[in-house]
Amino acid sequence: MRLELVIWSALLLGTLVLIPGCKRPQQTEESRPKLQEKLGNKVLEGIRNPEQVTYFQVKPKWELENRYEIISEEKGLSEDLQWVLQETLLDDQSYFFNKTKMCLFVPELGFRFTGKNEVLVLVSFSCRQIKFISNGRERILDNDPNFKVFQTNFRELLTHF
Amino acid sequence: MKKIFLALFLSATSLFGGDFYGIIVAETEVENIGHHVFFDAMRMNRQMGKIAKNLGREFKQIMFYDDDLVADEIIQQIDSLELKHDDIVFFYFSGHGQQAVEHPDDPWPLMKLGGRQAINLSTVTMKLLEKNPRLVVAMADCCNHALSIDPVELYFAFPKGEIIDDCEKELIQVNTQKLFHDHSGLIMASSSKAGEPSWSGMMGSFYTLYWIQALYHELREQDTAWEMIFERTTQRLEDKQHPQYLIIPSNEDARLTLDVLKN
Repeated sequence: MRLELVIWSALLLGTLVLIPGCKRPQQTEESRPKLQEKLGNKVLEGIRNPEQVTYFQVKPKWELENRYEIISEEKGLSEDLQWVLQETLLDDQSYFFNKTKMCLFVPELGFRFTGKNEVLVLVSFSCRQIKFISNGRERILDNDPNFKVFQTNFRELLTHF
Repeated sequence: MKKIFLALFLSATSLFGGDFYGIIVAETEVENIGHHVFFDAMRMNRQMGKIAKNLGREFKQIMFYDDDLVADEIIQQIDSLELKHDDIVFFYFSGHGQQAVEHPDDPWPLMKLGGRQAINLSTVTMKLLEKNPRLVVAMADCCNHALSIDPVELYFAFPKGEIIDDCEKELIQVNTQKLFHDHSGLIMASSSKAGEPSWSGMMGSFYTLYWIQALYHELREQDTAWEMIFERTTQRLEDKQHPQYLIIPSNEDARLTLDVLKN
Protein backbone atom coordinates (compact mmCIF):
# COMPACT_ATOMS: atom_id res chain seq x y z
CA MET A 1 0.00 0.00 0.00
CA ARG A 2 2.77 2.36 1.00
CA LEU A 3 4.73 1.37 -2.14
CA GLU A 4 1.71 2.13 -4.35
CA LEU A 5 1.42 5.55 -2.72
CA VAL A 6 5.05 6.29 -3.42
CA ILE A 7 4.71 5.19 -7.07
CA TRP A 8 1.56 7.27 -7.65
CA SER A 9 3.14 10.28 -5.94
CA ALA A 10 6.21 9.95 -8.13
CA LEU A 11 4.08 9.67 -11.28
CA LEU A 12 1.97 12.67 -10.29
CA LEU A 13 5.06 14.73 -9.48
CA GLY A 14 6.61 13.69 -12.79
CA THR A 15 3.50 14.76 -14.67
CA LEU A 16 3.50 18.13 -12.95
CA VAL A 17 7.13 18.64 -13.83
CA LEU A 18 6.65 17.53 -17.44
CA ILE A 19 3.50 19.51 -18.27
CA PRO A 20 5.05 22.98 -18.10
CA GLY A 21 8.14 21.48 -19.69
CA CYS A 22 6.41 20.57 -22.95
CA LYS A 23 7.27 23.92 -24.50
CA ARG A 24 10.72 23.97 -23.02
CA PRO A 25 14.03 22.46 -24.01
CA GLN A 26 13.94 18.76 -23.26
CA GLN A 27 17.60 18.46 -22.37
CA THR A 28 18.80 17.87 -18.87
CA GLU A 29 21.68 19.59 -17.13
CA GLU A 30 23.76 16.43 -17.67
CA SER A 31 23.55 16.88 -21.44
CA ARG A 32 25.12 20.31 -21.35
CA PRO A 33 27.97 20.16 -18.84
CA LYS A 34 30.26 22.38 -20.88
CA LEU A 35 27.68 25.11 -21.26
CA GLN A 36 27.02 24.95 -17.55
CA GLU A 37 30.73 25.33 -16.87
CA LYS A 38 31.13 28.26 -19.27
CA LEU A 39 27.97 30.22 -18.48
CA GLY A 40 26.93 29.10 -15.00
CA ASN A 41 23.57 27.88 -13.76
CA LYS A 42 21.97 31.32 -13.36
CA VAL A 43 22.43 32.15 -17.04
CA LEU A 44 21.09 28.76 -18.11
CA GLU A 45 18.15 29.14 -15.75
CA GLY A 46 17.48 32.65 -17.08
CA ILE A 47 17.30 31.32 -20.64
CA ARG A 48 15.29 28.25 -19.69
CA ASN A 49 12.61 29.97 -17.59
CA PRO A 50 12.10 33.55 -18.74
CA GLU A 51 8.95 35.57 -18.10
CA GLN A 52 9.30 37.06 -21.56
CA VAL A 53 11.71 37.03 -24.49
CA THR A 54 12.12 40.11 -26.68
CA TYR A 55 14.35 40.80 -29.67
CA PHE A 56 15.88 43.96 -31.06
CA GLN A 57 18.45 45.26 -33.51
CA VAL A 58 21.85 46.15 -32.14
CA LYS A 59 25.09 47.57 -33.52
CA PRO A 60 28.60 47.99 -32.15
CA LYS A 61 29.55 51.23 -30.45
CA TRP A 62 33.14 50.85 -29.29
CA GLU A 63 33.24 54.11 -27.34
CA LEU A 64 30.59 52.83 -24.90
CA GLU A 65 31.67 50.68 -21.99
CA ASN A 66 29.42 47.81 -23.08
CA ARG A 67 30.57 48.28 -26.72
CA TYR A 68 27.08 48.03 -28.24
CA GLU A 69 23.96 50.11 -28.79
CA ILE A 70 20.34 49.01 -29.19
CA ILE A 71 19.02 50.77 -32.28
CA SER A 72 15.44 49.52 -32.51
CA GLU A 73 12.37 48.96 -30.39
CA GLU A 74 12.10 45.61 -28.57
CA LYS A 75 9.53 43.18 -29.93
CA GLY A 76 8.10 40.08 -28.28
CA LEU A 77 9.35 36.77 -29.68
CA SER A 78 6.70 34.24 -30.74
CA GLU A 79 6.38 31.09 -28.61
CA ASP A 80 7.53 28.85 -31.46
CA LEU A 81 10.68 30.84 -32.11
CA GLN A 82 11.32 31.15 -28.39
CA TRP A 83 11.30 27.37 -28.14
CA VAL A 84 13.71 27.01 -31.07
CA LEU A 85 15.95 29.69 -29.58
CA GLN A 86 16.04 28.00 -26.17
CA GLU A 87 16.70 24.59 -27.74
CA THR A 88 19.53 26.04 -29.79
CA LEU A 89 21.13 28.12 -27.08
CA LEU A 90 20.90 25.44 -24.39
CA ASP A 91 22.74 22.73 -26.27
CA ASP A 92 26.42 21.86 -25.86
CA GLN A 93 26.43 20.65 -29.47
CA SER A 94 25.78 24.20 -30.69
CA TYR A 95 29.22 25.48 -29.74
CA PHE A 96 32.95 24.99 -29.98
CA PHE A 97 34.46 24.99 -26.51
CA ASN A 98 38.10 24.23 -27.28
CA LYS A 99 38.80 27.17 -29.59
CA THR A 100 37.82 30.75 -30.33
CA LYS A 101 37.60 32.62 -33.60
CA MET A 102 39.96 35.59 -33.93
CA CYS A 103 37.08 37.71 -35.14
CA LEU A 104 36.00 41.06 -33.75
CA PHE A 105 32.54 40.57 -32.23
CA VAL A 106 30.11 42.72 -34.19
CA PRO A 107 26.61 42.35 -32.69
CA GLU A 108 23.67 42.53 -35.06
CA LEU A 109 20.66 41.01 -33.27
CA GLY A 110 19.84 40.84 -29.57
CA PHE A 111 17.48 38.81 -27.38
CA ARG A 112 16.45 39.76 -23.84
CA PHE A 113 15.34 36.99 -21.50
CA THR A 114 13.57 38.86 -18.70
CA GLY A 115 12.76 37.28 -15.37
CA LYS A 116 14.48 36.38 -12.13
CA ASN A 117 17.83 35.95 -13.94
CA GLU A 118 17.84 38.42 -16.81
CA VAL A 119 20.09 37.40 -19.70
CA LEU A 120 20.98 39.40 -22.77
CA VAL A 121 22.03 37.38 -25.81
CA LEU A 122 23.78 39.24 -28.63
CA VAL A 123 24.28 37.56 -32.00
CA SER A 124 27.05 38.24 -34.52
CA PHE A 125 26.09 36.58 -37.80
CA SER A 126 29.31 37.72 -39.48
CA CYS A 127 31.52 36.15 -36.79
CA ARG A 128 29.20 33.24 -36.06
CA GLN A 129 29.44 34.02 -32.39
CA ILE A 130 27.02 34.61 -29.52
CA LYS A 131 27.66 36.84 -26.52
CA PHE A 132 25.85 36.11 -23.25
CA ILE A 133 25.55 39.01 -20.82
CA SER A 134 24.17 38.63 -17.29
CA ASN A 135 24.92 40.38 -14.00
CA GLY A 136 27.75 42.37 -15.55
CA ARG A 137 29.49 39.25 -16.84
CA GLU A 138 30.05 38.52 -20.51
CA ARG A 139 31.00 35.39 -22.39
CA ILE A 140 31.41 34.87 -26.14
CA LEU A 141 30.90 31.41 -27.65
CA ASP A 142 31.44 30.28 -31.25
CA ASN A 143 28.23 28.74 -32.58
CA ASP A 144 29.56 27.41 -35.88
CA PRO A 145 28.21 23.85 -35.41
CA ASN A 146 24.58 25.00 -35.54
CA PHE A 147 25.07 28.26 -37.37
CA LYS A 148 22.84 27.28 -40.29
CA VAL A 149 19.92 26.50 -37.98
CA PHE A 150 20.46 29.79 -36.23
CA GLN A 151 20.78 31.78 -39.43
CA THR A 152 17.67 30.18 -41.01
CA ASN A 153 15.47 30.85 -38.01
CA PHE A 154 16.64 34.17 -36.69
CA ARG A 155 18.40 36.29 -39.32
CA GLU A 156 15.03 37.18 -40.78
CA LEU A 157 14.09 38.94 -37.53
CA LEU A 158 16.36 41.79 -38.56
CA THR A 159 13.97 42.61 -41.41
CA HIS A 160 11.25 43.39 -38.87
CA PHE A 161 12.75 46.75 -38.01
CA MET B 1 85.91 21.17 -40.30
CA LYS B 2 82.26 22.00 -39.86
CA LYS B 3 83.16 24.46 -37.11
CA ILE B 4 85.65 26.22 -39.36
CA PHE B 5 83.04 26.41 -42.09
CA LEU B 6 80.60 27.91 -39.61
CA ALA B 7 83.12 30.44 -38.38
CA LEU B 8 83.88 31.48 -41.97
CA PHE B 9 80.17 31.58 -42.72
CA LEU B 10 79.44 33.71 -39.67
CA SER B 11 82.29 36.09 -40.35
CA ALA B 12 81.16 36.38 -43.97
CA THR B 13 77.59 37.10 -42.95
CA SER B 14 78.66 39.56 -40.31
CA LEU B 15 79.90 41.64 -43.22
CA PHE B 16 76.26 42.50 -43.79
CA GLY B 17 76.38 44.40 -40.55
CA GLY B 18 72.64 45.01 -40.55
CA ASP B 19 70.25 44.83 -37.62
CA PHE B 20 67.28 42.54 -37.02
CA TYR B 21 64.10 44.50 -36.33
CA GLY B 22 61.26 42.63 -34.65
CA ILE B 23 57.98 44.54 -34.75
CA ILE B 24 55.14 42.94 -32.80
CA VAL B 25 51.61 44.33 -32.72
CA ALA B 26 49.40 42.35 -30.33
CA GLU B 27 45.81 42.95 -29.29
CA THR B 28 46.42 41.66 -25.78
CA GLU B 29 43.55 43.54 -24.17
CA VAL B 30 40.89 42.59 -26.64
CA GLU B 31 37.79 40.71 -25.48
CA ASN B 32 37.60 36.95 -25.78
CA ILE B 33 41.08 36.23 -27.20
CA GLY B 34 43.28 38.75 -25.32
CA HIS B 35 45.05 36.14 -23.20
CA HIS B 36 45.65 33.91 -26.25
CA VAL B 37 47.22 36.87 -28.05
CA PHE B 38 49.41 37.60 -25.04
CA PHE B 39 50.94 34.13 -25.32
CA ASP B 40 51.48 34.65 -29.06
CA ALA B 41 53.29 37.94 -28.50
CA MET B 42 55.57 36.50 -25.83
CA ARG B 43 56.38 33.43 -27.95
CA MET B 44 57.09 35.41 -31.10
CA ASN B 45 59.22 37.89 -29.21
CA ARG B 46 61.30 35.00 -27.91
CA GLN B 47 61.57 33.47 -31.38
CA MET B 48 62.66 36.76 -32.90
CA GLY B 49 65.31 37.14 -30.20
CA LYS B 50 66.63 33.66 -31.02
CA ILE B 51 66.66 34.38 -34.76
CA ALA B 52 68.59 37.63 -34.24
CA LYS B 53 71.08 35.82 -32.02
CA ASN B 54 71.59 33.05 -34.58
CA LEU B 55 72.10 35.66 -37.28
CA GLY B 56 74.63 37.49 -35.15
CA ARG B 57 72.62 40.67 -35.53
CA GLU B 58 71.49 43.18 -32.97
CA PHE B 59 67.82 42.60 -32.04
CA LYS B 60 65.88 45.82 -32.20
CA GLN B 61 62.54 45.10 -30.65
CA ILE B 62 59.44 47.23 -31.18
CA MET B 63 56.27 46.11 -29.42
CA PHE B 64 52.77 47.55 -29.47
CA TYR B 65 50.28 46.01 -27.06
CA ASP B 66 47.73 46.83 -24.33
CA ASP B 67 46.70 50.44 -24.81
CA ASP B 68 49.48 51.22 -27.30
CA LEU B 69 47.39 50.09 -30.24
CA VAL B 70 46.77 53.36 -32.04
CA ALA B 71 47.03 53.05 -35.81
CA ASP B 72 48.59 56.50 -36.27
CA GLU B 73 51.30 55.78 -33.72
CA ILE B 74 52.13 52.42 -35.26
CA ILE B 75 52.34 53.91 -38.74
CA GLN B 76 54.30 56.87 -37.40
CA GLN B 77 56.78 54.56 -35.70
CA ILE B 78 57.19 52.50 -38.88
CA ASP B 79 57.58 55.68 -40.94
CA SER B 80 60.27 56.94 -38.60
CA LEU B 81 62.32 53.73 -38.81
CA GLU B 82 65.66 54.38 -40.43
CA LEU B 83 66.45 51.07 -42.07
CA LYS B 84 69.78 50.27 -43.65
CA HIS B 85 70.10 48.27 -46.86
CA ASP B 86 71.25 45.18 -44.98
CA ASP B 87 68.64 45.24 -42.23
CA ILE B 88 66.06 42.49 -41.81
CA VAL B 89 62.56 43.38 -40.58
CA PHE B 90 60.13 40.85 -39.14
CA PHE B 91 56.61 42.24 -38.63
CA TYR B 92 54.12 40.12 -36.68
CA PHE B 93 50.49 40.76 -35.71
CA SER B 94 48.16 38.72 -33.51
CA GLY B 95 44.57 39.71 -32.77
CA HIS B 96 41.22 40.21 -34.41
CA GLY B 97 41.09 40.60 -38.15
CA GLN B 98 38.84 40.59 -41.14
CA GLN B 99 38.99 40.62 -44.91
CA ALA B 100 40.40 43.90 -46.27
CA VAL B 101 37.37 46.06 -46.98
CA GLU B 102 38.87 48.92 -48.98
CA HIS B 103 40.41 46.67 -51.61
CA PRO B 104 38.31 43.57 -52.31
CA ASP B 105 41.12 41.97 -54.31
CA ASP B 106 43.58 42.24 -51.43
CA PRO B 107 44.01 38.68 -50.10
CA TRP B 108 45.77 39.91 -46.96
CA PRO B 109 43.79 40.69 -43.81
CA LEU B 110 42.80 43.92 -42.16
CA MET B 111 44.34 43.87 -38.67
CA LYS B 112 42.05 45.25 -35.97
CA LEU B 113 43.36 47.50 -33.24
CA GLY B 114 40.99 47.30 -30.28
CA GLY B 115 37.85 47.55 -32.38
CA ARG B 116 38.10 51.22 -33.23
CA GLN B 117 40.96 51.19 -35.70
CA ALA B 118 42.54 48.82 -38.17
CA ILE B 119 45.50 48.58 -40.55
CA ASN B 120 45.90 46.48 -43.68
CA LEU B 121 48.75 43.96 -43.56
CA SER B 122 49.57 44.93 -47.14
CA THR B 123 49.81 48.63 -46.18
CA VAL B 124 52.27 47.95 -43.36
CA THR B 125 54.27 45.57 -45.58
CA MET B 126 54.45 48.15 -48.37
CA LYS B 127 55.68 50.82 -45.94
CA LEU B 128 58.43 48.49 -44.78
CA LEU B 129 59.42 47.53 -48.33
CA GLU B 130 59.66 51.20 -49.30
CA LYS B 131 62.47 51.53 -46.78
CA ASN B 132 64.52 49.09 -48.84
CA PRO B 133 65.75 46.67 -46.19
CA ARG B 134 67.40 43.43 -47.25
CA LEU B 135 64.39 41.31 -46.29
CA VAL B 136 60.86 41.93 -44.97
CA VAL B 137 59.00 39.10 -43.25
CA ALA B 138 55.38 40.12 -42.62
CA MET B 139 52.97 37.80 -40.85
CA ALA B 140 49.46 38.18 -39.42
CA ASP B 141 47.65 35.65 -37.25
CA CYS B 142 44.03 36.78 -37.34
CA CYS B 143 40.68 36.15 -39.05
CA ASN B 144 40.47 37.04 -42.70
CA HIS B 145 36.63 36.80 -42.51
CA ALA B 146 34.42 34.07 -41.02
CA LEU B 147 33.65 30.54 -42.17
CA SER B 148 32.48 27.34 -40.50
CA ILE B 149 35.18 24.77 -39.78
CA ASP B 150 35.61 21.89 -37.35
CA PRO B 151 37.66 22.16 -34.15
CA VAL B 152 41.41 21.92 -34.42
CA GLU B 153 42.92 19.35 -32.11
CA LEU B 154 45.87 21.06 -30.55
CA TYR B 155 49.12 19.18 -30.44
CA PHE B 156 52.07 21.20 -29.35
CA ALA B 157 54.92 19.58 -27.52
CA PHE B 158 58.60 20.37 -27.32
CA PRO B 159 61.05 18.38 -25.26
CA LYS B 160 61.32 19.78 -21.76
CA GLY B 161 64.82 20.64 -20.62
CA GLU B 162 66.05 20.33 -24.18
CA ILE B 163 69.75 19.70 -24.64
CA ILE B 164 71.27 21.14 -27.77
CA ASP B 165 74.70 19.76 -28.63
CA ASP B 166 77.33 21.77 -30.52
CA CYS B 167 76.50 20.14 -33.86
CA GLU B 168 72.83 20.95 -33.53
CA LYS B 169 73.63 24.48 -32.42
CA GLU B 170 75.72 24.96 -35.55
CA LEU B 171 73.00 23.47 -37.73
CA ILE B 172 70.42 25.85 -36.25
CA GLN B 173 72.71 28.81 -36.88
CA VAL B 174 73.49 27.76 -40.46
CA ASN B 175 69.81 27.18 -41.21
CA THR B 176 68.81 30.52 -39.69
CA GLN B 177 71.43 32.18 -41.89
CA LYS B 178 70.03 30.34 -44.93
CA LEU B 179 66.52 31.51 -44.20
CA PHE B 180 67.34 35.14 -43.54
CA HIS B 181 70.69 35.97 -45.16
CA ASP B 182 70.19 33.94 -48.32
CA HIS B 183 66.88 35.65 -48.95
CA SER B 184 65.98 39.18 -49.81
CA GLY B 185 62.76 40.88 -50.83
CA LEU B 186 59.53 39.83 -49.16
CA ILE B 187 58.14 36.90 -47.22
CA MET B 188 54.50 37.51 -46.38
CA ALA B 189 52.04 35.26 -44.61
CA SER B 190 48.66 35.24 -42.96
CA SER B 191 46.92 32.60 -40.90
CA SER B 192 43.91 32.36 -43.20
CA LYS B 193 42.93 33.07 -46.78
CA ALA B 194 40.47 35.81 -47.69
CA GLY B 195 36.97 34.89 -46.58
CA GLU B 196 38.11 32.50 -43.86
CA PRO B 197 38.56 32.62 -40.07
CA SER B 198 41.54 31.87 -37.85
CA TRP B 199 41.29 30.15 -34.50
CA SER B 200 42.95 30.31 -31.11
CA GLY B 201 42.83 28.22 -27.94
CA MET B 202 43.95 28.47 -24.34
CA MET B 203 47.61 28.07 -25.36
CA GLY B 204 47.53 30.75 -28.03
CA SER B 205 46.66 31.05 -31.69
CA PHE B 206 46.89 27.78 -33.60
CA TYR B 207 48.73 29.25 -36.58
CA THR B 208 51.45 30.90 -34.47
CA LEU B 209 51.90 27.75 -32.38
CA TYR B 210 52.24 25.54 -35.43
CA TRP B 211 54.43 28.04 -37.27
CA ILE B 212 56.87 28.18 -34.35
CA GLN B 213 56.79 24.40 -34.17
CA ALA B 214 57.51 24.18 -37.93
CA LEU B 215 60.38 26.64 -37.58
CA TYR B 216 61.75 24.59 -34.68
CA HIS B 217 61.81 21.43 -36.82
CA GLU B 218 63.05 23.08 -40.01
CA LEU B 219 66.02 24.66 -38.22
CA ARG B 220 67.08 21.13 -37.28
CA GLU B 221 66.82 19.65 -40.77
CA GLN B 222 69.90 19.16 -42.97
CA ASP B 223 68.42 21.56 -45.46
CA THR B 224 65.78 24.17 -44.92
CA ALA B 225 63.48 26.49 -46.85
CA TRP B 226 60.78 29.04 -46.09
CA GLU B 227 58.33 27.04 -48.20
CA MET B 228 58.84 24.02 -45.96
CA ILE B 229 58.05 26.03 -42.81
CA PHE B 230 54.80 27.33 -44.27
CA GLU B 231 53.87 23.94 -45.75
CA ARG B 232 54.53 22.18 -42.44
CA THR B 233 52.33 24.77 -40.69
CA THR B 234 49.55 24.25 -43.24
CA GLN B 235 49.81 20.48 -42.83
CA ARG B 236 49.47 20.72 -39.05
CA LEU B 237 46.29 22.75 -39.41
CA GLU B 238 44.83 19.73 -41.24
CA ASP B 239 42.55 21.54 -43.66
CA LYS B 240 40.71 23.15 -40.75
CA GLN B 241 42.32 26.53 -41.32
CA HIS B 242 43.89 27.63 -44.59
CA PRO B 243 46.93 29.89 -44.28
CA GLN B 244 48.60 31.63 -47.21
CA TYR B 245 52.12 32.83 -47.98
CA LEU B 246 54.00 34.72 -50.63
CA ILE B 247 57.73 34.74 -51.34
CA ILE B 248 59.12 37.39 -53.68
CA PRO B 249 62.91 37.59 -53.85
CA SER B 250 63.10 41.19 -55.02
CA ASN B 251 62.01 44.28 -53.10
CA GLU B 252 60.99 46.03 -56.31
CA ASP B 253 58.87 43.11 -57.52
CA ALA B 254 57.26 42.84 -54.09
CA ARG B 255 56.26 46.49 -54.17
CA LEU B 256 54.84 46.08 -57.68
CA THR B 257 52.82 43.06 -56.55
CA LEU B 258 51.34 44.85 -53.55
CA ASP B 259 50.68 47.93 -55.69
CA VAL B 260 48.62 45.87 -58.13
CA LEU B 261 46.31 44.85 -55.28
CA LYS B 262 45.49 48.47 -54.55
CA ASN B 263 44.59 49.42 -58.10
